[in-house]
Amino acid sequence: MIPSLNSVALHDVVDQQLVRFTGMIQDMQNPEMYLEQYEVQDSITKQTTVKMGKYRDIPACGPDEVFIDDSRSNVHRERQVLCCISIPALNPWVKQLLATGTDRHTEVKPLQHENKRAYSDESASSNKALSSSISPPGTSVKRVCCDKKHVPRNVRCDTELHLPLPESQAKTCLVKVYDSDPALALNDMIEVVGFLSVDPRLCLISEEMEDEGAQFHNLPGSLVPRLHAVSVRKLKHNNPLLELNFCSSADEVLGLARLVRQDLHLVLSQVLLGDHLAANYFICHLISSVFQRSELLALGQLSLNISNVVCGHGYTEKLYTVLRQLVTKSHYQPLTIENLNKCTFTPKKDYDANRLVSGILQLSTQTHLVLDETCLEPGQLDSNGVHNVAALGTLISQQKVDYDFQFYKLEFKADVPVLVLSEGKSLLPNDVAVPLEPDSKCLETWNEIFEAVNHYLQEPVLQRLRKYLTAVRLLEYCLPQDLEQVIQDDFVRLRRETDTKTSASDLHLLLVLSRLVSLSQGEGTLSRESWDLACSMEKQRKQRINGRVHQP
Amino acid sequence: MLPDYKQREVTAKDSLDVYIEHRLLMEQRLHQPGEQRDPRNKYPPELMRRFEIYFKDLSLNKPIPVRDVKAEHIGKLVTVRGIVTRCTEVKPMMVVATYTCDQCGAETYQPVNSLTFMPLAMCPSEDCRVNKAGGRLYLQTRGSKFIKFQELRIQEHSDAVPVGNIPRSLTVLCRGETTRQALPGDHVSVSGIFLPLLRTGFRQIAQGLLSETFMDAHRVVHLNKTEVDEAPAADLTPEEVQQLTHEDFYGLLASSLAPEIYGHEDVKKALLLLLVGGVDRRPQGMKIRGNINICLMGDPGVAKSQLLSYIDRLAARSQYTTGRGSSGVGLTAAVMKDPLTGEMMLEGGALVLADQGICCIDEFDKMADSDRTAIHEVMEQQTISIAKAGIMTSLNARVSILAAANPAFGRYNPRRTVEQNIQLPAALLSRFDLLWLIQDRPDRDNDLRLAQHITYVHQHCKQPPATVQALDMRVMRRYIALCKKQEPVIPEELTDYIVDSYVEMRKEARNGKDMTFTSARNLLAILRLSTALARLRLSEQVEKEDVKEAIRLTEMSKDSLNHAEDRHGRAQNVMDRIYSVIRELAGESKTVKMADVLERCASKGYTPDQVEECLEEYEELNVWLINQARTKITFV
Repeated sequence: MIPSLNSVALHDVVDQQLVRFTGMIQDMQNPEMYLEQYEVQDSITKQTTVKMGKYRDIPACGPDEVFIDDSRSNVHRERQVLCCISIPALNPWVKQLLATGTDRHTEVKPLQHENKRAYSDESASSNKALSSSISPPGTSVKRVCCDKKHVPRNVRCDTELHLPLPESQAKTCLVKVYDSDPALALNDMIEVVGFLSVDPRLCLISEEMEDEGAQFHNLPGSLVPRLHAVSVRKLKHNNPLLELNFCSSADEVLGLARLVRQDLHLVLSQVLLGDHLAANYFICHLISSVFQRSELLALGQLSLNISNVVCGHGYTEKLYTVLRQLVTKSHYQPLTIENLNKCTFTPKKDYDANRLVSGILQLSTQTHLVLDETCLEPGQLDSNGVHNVAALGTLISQQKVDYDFQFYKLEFKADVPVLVLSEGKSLLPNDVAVPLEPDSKCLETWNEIFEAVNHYLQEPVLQRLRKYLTAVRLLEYCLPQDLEQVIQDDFVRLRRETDTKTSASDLHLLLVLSRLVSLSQGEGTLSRESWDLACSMEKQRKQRINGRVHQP
Repeated sequence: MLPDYKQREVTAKDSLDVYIEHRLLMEQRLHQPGEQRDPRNKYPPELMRRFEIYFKDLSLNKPIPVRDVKAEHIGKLVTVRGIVTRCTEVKPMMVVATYTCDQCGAETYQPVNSLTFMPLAMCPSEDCRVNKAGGRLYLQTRGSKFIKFQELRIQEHSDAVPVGNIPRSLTVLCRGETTRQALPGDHVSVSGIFLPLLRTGFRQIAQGLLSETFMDAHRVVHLNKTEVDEAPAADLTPEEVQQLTHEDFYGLLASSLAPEIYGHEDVKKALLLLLVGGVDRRPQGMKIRGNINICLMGDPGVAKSQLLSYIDRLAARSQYTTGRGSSGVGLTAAVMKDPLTGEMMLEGGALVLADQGICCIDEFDKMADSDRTAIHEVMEQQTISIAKAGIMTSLNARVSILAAANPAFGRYNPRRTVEQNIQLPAALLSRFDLLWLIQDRPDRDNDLRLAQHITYVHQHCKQPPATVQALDMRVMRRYIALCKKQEPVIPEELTDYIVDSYVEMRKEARNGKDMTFTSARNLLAILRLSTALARLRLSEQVEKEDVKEAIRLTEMSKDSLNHAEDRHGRAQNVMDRIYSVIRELAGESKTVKMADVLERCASKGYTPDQVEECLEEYEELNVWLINQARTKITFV
C-alpha cells in the first residue's frame, strides 16, 4: 500500500518515494517547461550520458558529472502544475475513517526507514558534491537560506490563503501532471499517485528568485511538497465507505434503499420537530446534484430554505451536527452582518503573488453549505457584504461562482447544495421554501429529541445512512416515455386550475423533485407513484405557504 | 582629438554620440590597419549602434492563444493577444559595460546578453598583462551603453479560457522602443520570440531541469476596445458559415438567444435586432441614432431578467444595472475630486462605459424620476452633456438601452394605459422603439408545447432536436460583429411604401383603440429595424421584406399591449377612455375647466362630439356635475 500524504507526516516519507494524495484542485499555475531528456558529462572520463528528466525537479548528476546546458539531445517538454489542497469541509467522521484506513498499512514502515537512510546518505553526498562544485558566493547563499528555512517568513499564512475554509490539518501540495489531461478542472476532487519531491535543494532556488511571483511556487518542500504524478484520477465521490465505482456494493445498498429512507425520514422528521413534509424535502435536498446545465439554468439542484425556525438558541447548530454526521462534506456558515462584511466568499486572483486567493465559496462538488440566517441582525452591509450576498444568490440560483480576476470575472461551475435556515422569508433566493410547522409537543422537548436522535445514530445505522446518501445520488436516472404524456397533461391542468400561477419553472421544479423522490427510493426510473408524490408534496407546500400568508 | 571644421550645424547629439565619434577617431588614429588586437579591447558593435531592429510577424499569421504557446514554439516568432496584468517600471539595462583601468587607462568592453552579469575586475590589456601592473577596472557609467527595459505579464482573455481552468499568463520582456507601450489592464497584441530564460551561475545548476520561459518582445501593439471586440469576427470557419446559411437563419439566430427560455420568438427577434443595431445617419449635422431601444414589460416571473442577463453576456460591450441600484449620476457621469491631486475629474457611469454597446437596465420602473430623466438625452441624442463643477463637456454614449419593467401594481392591468401600468412618463416611453408586454396566460396548446419542451430537457439532458440546434454564443458574437460592419441604405423606390405604411399606421392608431403612441418616432423605429434586418442579411440594401418584417414587429409589439385587454373583461370604449383622461386631468382636485378638457381630448385625438357624449353620459350617472355655463366640471 502506498502511503497517503493526507495522513502521513512529511518526515515519515522520503524524497522520491511513491505516495498518494487526495485533494481538490485549488489553483492551476502556468505550465512548466522542463527537460524531458538531458545529457550529463562525466568530468573525469569525459563520457556523456543521456538521462530522462521526467518525474524530477533536479537533474540526477553523479558526484563527477556535469550537466550540459546546451546539449543537442536536450528535449524540452511541458508539464502542468496544479495546486491541490486537501478536500475542504471534510467532516470529522470521514477524516477519522481515512486516518484509521491508513494505519492498517503501517507495517511497511520499517523497510521505508531503511530506504530513507540510504537515500539521505545519497542526497547528502550529492549535496556535498554540489557545494564543492559551486563557486564561493553560492555557498554563502546556501548558508543564508538554510537559516531562513527555520524562520519561514509568513509562509504559514501564505499557504492558508489557498484554503477556502480555515482548517488546521489541511495540506497543500503542488502536483505536476505530465501529458496533461484537459478534462481536469478547477475544484475537481482528484486522487494522485506520484513521486514525492521534497529535495531541500529546491528551497535554494526559491531563495534566489527575487521575483515575488515565484514565491509560492517555490515554497520549501517541507511546507508544500511537490508530487510528480504518475496517475491522476477524478473522484466522483469521497465516501470512504464506498468503493470509487461501487458496482458490487451498489445493489446491496439500493436494495435496502426504502428501509434506509424510512430510517432517515424518522431521524429527520424528529430533528425537524415532527414536520414530515419538511423531512421529505430535506431528504431530496440531501441527494440533489446538478445533472445538466445550460447557459442560465442548472437542472437537478434543489436548494432548500427552511423558514420559521423559531425555537430557541442553539437549534440550528444542533441540526447541523446531525447533518454533519450524515454527509461527507459540509460547511456551516452563520450569516451575521460581520461575517458577510469581513469574509471573502469569492476567490480572487492576487497578481502580485500570482496565485488564486481562495474564498468560502470555492468548494468541491457536493459540499453541503448550510447558511444560518437566524443569527442575522439589522445592520449595515458594506460593499463587500453586498457583493457577498450577490455571490451567494448566483450560487444558489445558477450554481455558479464568479471568480474575480480583477481585469475580468470568470465564472466557474459549482454543485453545492445550499440549505438556508431562517426565521422569516430568506433574503436569498431558493428553489424550495418550506415554512416549518413544528409539533407543539416537540417544540417543548427539542433538547431531549436531539439527545435521543444522537443516541439512535450509532455506528451501524450511520454507516447505512451514509452509504445510502452517496449511492443514491450517483444512481443513473431516466424518465420513461409513457409518463411523458401524464406529466404534460398534469401541467396543462395545473396551469388552468391555478390561473397561470404555475410557470415553466414550477414544472422544472416538479420534474427535479420527482427525480429526487424516485432516487431516494432507490429507483432509477420515474414511476407514476413518485410523480404523484412529488405533485402532492408541492401542493401541500404551496398550501402551507399560502396559509401562512393569509394567517397573519 | 579636435574635430574637423564643419560647414553646417552639427545635429544634436547626446553623450553617447560624442563617445561614439571619439571612439571612432581614436581607432583611426591609434591603430594601424591590420594590427592584431585583443578582442576585448575592440569596440563591440552594440556600443556603436544607434538603431534597433525589430521583426514584425507576417500579417497572414494569426495571433495564437497564450494557452497554445508551448515547448515547440521555443525560438520562434509568435504573436499572442492578452491583457496586461503587471508591468514593471522602465529601468535602464546594461548592454555593454565599459571599464577603464586605473593603471594603464585602457578601456575594456563587456557585452551583456543576459539579465545578470559578472563584472570584470582585472585589466586584460597588453600593457597591464606584460608589466604585471595588476590594474583594476572601474565601471564607467557614461561610457557604457544602457537600454530601456521593462517586464510585462500578459494574461489570456476571458473568452479564451476553457471552462474550469485558470487563465494562463506569459512573461514578456520589452527592450528599447517596445517599452512603455502598455499599462496594466490594457489589451495588447505582442509579437516576440518565445525563449527559455537562461540563468547563470549556481542557479542554473540547481534549477537544472526547469526553465522559466519568456517572450522577447519585438512588437507591442495596444489594442483599443473595438479592435479587441472585432478581432474574432473575421475567422468564421466554413462549418460555422454552413450553419449560418440556414434557410431560416433569422429565426435560427433568434431562437439561439437564450435557448432555455421557451417561446417568445418575436421578443427574441427584436432583441437580435437590438444586438445588431440600425445604421446611424447624419444628414446636415443632424444626428439620427441607429441604436434600437427596447423595453420589456411584464408580469413577474416571465424570464425578463433572464433575457436581460443573457443579452448582457452575449453582447461584446454591455453594462448591466438595476434601476434600484443606480442613480442618475451612476448611469451618466460623475465629477469626482481626485483625492491625491485635488483636481476635478470625470468618472463615466454605466451608459458611458457601454458606449457602442448595450446597457441593460433591470427594474426600470423602480428608478427615481430624477434619475430617469438623465436617460432622455442618451436615448435620442446619444450623448451626455455635463455642466458641473467647472467641467462642461459632452460625452458619447452611443448605447442601445434594453430595459425591463414590472407593472406598477404587480400584474399588468389591461384597463389602464401603458403609462399608468408602468409608471413611466410618455416622453420616456416614446423613446423606446419597441415596447413588449410579456404576459403569462394559460393557453392549452402553448402550455402543452412548453411542457413537452421541459420534459424533453429533463429526459434527455439536452435541448429537443426538433427545435433547430442553437448556435454557440461565440459564433453568434462573431456573426453579429460581422453584421455590424454593414452599412445598408434604403433605396429610393421603397420610400413610397414606407410612407404609405406609416400613414396607414397613424390612421389605424387614431381610429382604433390604441393604448400606445404612434408618432414620427415610430417611423424612425421602423427604419432602424429594417436597416438592422438588412445588416443581419449582410446585405447593402434594405429590401421590401425587411420593411415588412420591421412593420410586423412594431405591430406585434403594439399588439402585445393592446391585445392584453381583449382577454380580460370588456373592452374599454371611447367613453371610458375619455373619462379616464378627464379623471387624470383632474388629479387631486375636484374641479376641471371645460376648456382644458376639450384641449386635452383634442390632443388625444377625440372629437368634440365624443367628448360631449361622454360628459353627458357620466353626468347622468352622477359622476360629475357640469355648471350652467358649461365651463366647469365638478366631481361628485
